[in-house]
Amino acid sequence: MEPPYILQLPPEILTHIASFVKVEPDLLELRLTCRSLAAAAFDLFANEFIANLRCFVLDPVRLHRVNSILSRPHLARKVREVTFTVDGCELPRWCLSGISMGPDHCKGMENFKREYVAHTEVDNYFRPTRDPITSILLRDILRSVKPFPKCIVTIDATYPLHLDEDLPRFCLTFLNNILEAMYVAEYNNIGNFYLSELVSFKRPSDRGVSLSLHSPGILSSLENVKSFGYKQVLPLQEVDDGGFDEENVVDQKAGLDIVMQHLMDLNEFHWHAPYDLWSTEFVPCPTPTLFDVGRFNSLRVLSLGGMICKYDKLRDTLHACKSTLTDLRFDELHLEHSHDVWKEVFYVLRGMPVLKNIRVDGRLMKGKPLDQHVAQFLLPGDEKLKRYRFLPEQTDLDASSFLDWNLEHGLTYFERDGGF
Amino acid sequence: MASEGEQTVKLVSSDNVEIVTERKVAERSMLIKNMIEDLGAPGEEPIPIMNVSEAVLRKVLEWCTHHKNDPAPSQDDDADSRKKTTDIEDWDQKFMQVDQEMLFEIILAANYMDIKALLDVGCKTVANMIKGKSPEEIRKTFNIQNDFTPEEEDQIRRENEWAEDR
Repeated sequence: MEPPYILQLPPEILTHIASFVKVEPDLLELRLTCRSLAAAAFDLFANEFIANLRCFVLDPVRLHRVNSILSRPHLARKVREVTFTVDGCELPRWCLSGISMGPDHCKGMENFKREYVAHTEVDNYFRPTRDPITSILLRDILRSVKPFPKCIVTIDATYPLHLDEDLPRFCLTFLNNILEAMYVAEYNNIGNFYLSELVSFKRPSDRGVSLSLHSPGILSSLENVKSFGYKQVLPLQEVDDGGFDEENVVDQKAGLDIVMQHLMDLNEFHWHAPYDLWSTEFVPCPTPTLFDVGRFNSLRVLSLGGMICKYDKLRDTLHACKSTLTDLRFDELHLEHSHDVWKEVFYVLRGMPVLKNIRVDGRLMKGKPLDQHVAQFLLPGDEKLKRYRFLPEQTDLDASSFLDWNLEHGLTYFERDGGF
Repeated sequence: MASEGEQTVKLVSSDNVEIVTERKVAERSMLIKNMIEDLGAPGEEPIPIMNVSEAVLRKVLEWCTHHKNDPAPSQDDDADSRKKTTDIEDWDQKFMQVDQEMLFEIILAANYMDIKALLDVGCKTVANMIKGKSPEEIRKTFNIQNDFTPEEEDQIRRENEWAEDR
């Protein structure tokens, strides 16, 4: 008996047909039809559902799910990234998206939130954070990804932007769980590492909510990190509810220093926090640059925001990674002194040979009319800079003539996406 | 000598029937376009289309005639193709209202003759036939036997559940 017409098609055409099928639910239904169509749909299924696994680390059910996926070799070899996140919605972060230029990651957020809240508020859904089952699951996940060097692990402890404010309090200890599991699993291949004030560097004796940098193997596991970010929404003095006293601030700064010293070969560096962490007051930086980024030989993405700094520090920071930087983001970055320094910053950017994307929050230009001199500087004919993207705030249109001028020349602007 | 737009070419189907058509129409097929360029003397030598029967070839050429003035597809069209599952223009939808045997023959011919736009229309038509159907309904539509073992089916069901849970 001849096979049905559709199954006389070669596998590559069956896959092409599957590529036009709606992912949910049709692709999933197609997989259940027969072996040939399941095979044709498998790569599409894997790319859509398996390649990037995000896992809310406090939920054993979700850890089980990731573990089950990784325990099947035909699925495990399709996984490219496992992200442990404090975000119950498991949404991608601002600094995980391609070149970190801020996608619309909040899309569909409300549905997620409704579902999530309904699911988690009913009872004490989360187990204690020292739960041995959680630790075992984490360890098993890390052991499963270990044979796949192309699969990276991301630890994302930045704020879930869209959830109830109570949630972060659940999350303080999750890093220790992961780091301990890494030590047990002998896994040391963290690719992306994003922190915030949710992660406290308090000393280990304090309520067991600290990131213990003293555990063996912890710091060496950071050596392969390619992308590092620290995001602090409030100055530490304003963090309440078990927040930071001055002693804790010292620990926090020291902890961050230690972490950053152990980052050896970053491609991306994101810092969105008051420079002084403790307060919004400007504190002179003791080092020649804002951060010691010059030691990263292949830093491509630099994202700075939420702080006040001196022009010469920023200039020297940019000079330090001048030859490798392709993407630059300033977000609510306030330079001390007069507006003229921004012209100087633009001149520094012009001298960067591979810089392609700039994103600047318009707020930094508040009260500082940009004259024709700066407008002329950012000519689209400048081959070195392919795109100029600015985020003018409605209330900060002092730079409107500059922005209009750029629009006339076909340049592109981002909508403000709420990413910060 | 006829201009390129007026030239004709002779195609020979797998069942050995000669069909004369405009060169511009035939060159919607990259296979034919390349053969014409290689042969160098269009119209003189018949071009064999070995895997395509007369009936299917005539149907394919009907499509090519309707689309002979379409612009060449861009790379962006390719990248975007996943978002256009149901986006088939009216004429193409009517063109594809054929029995399944002919539909899949057209798809195979489009693939063999390297006519990407026709291949896409054919595959989208099949995708639309799958849309909204259960596995059993898909099997019934295409006369497919369920060849899974219970264990295999159960495993795929579980994998699908993980996917839906994400």
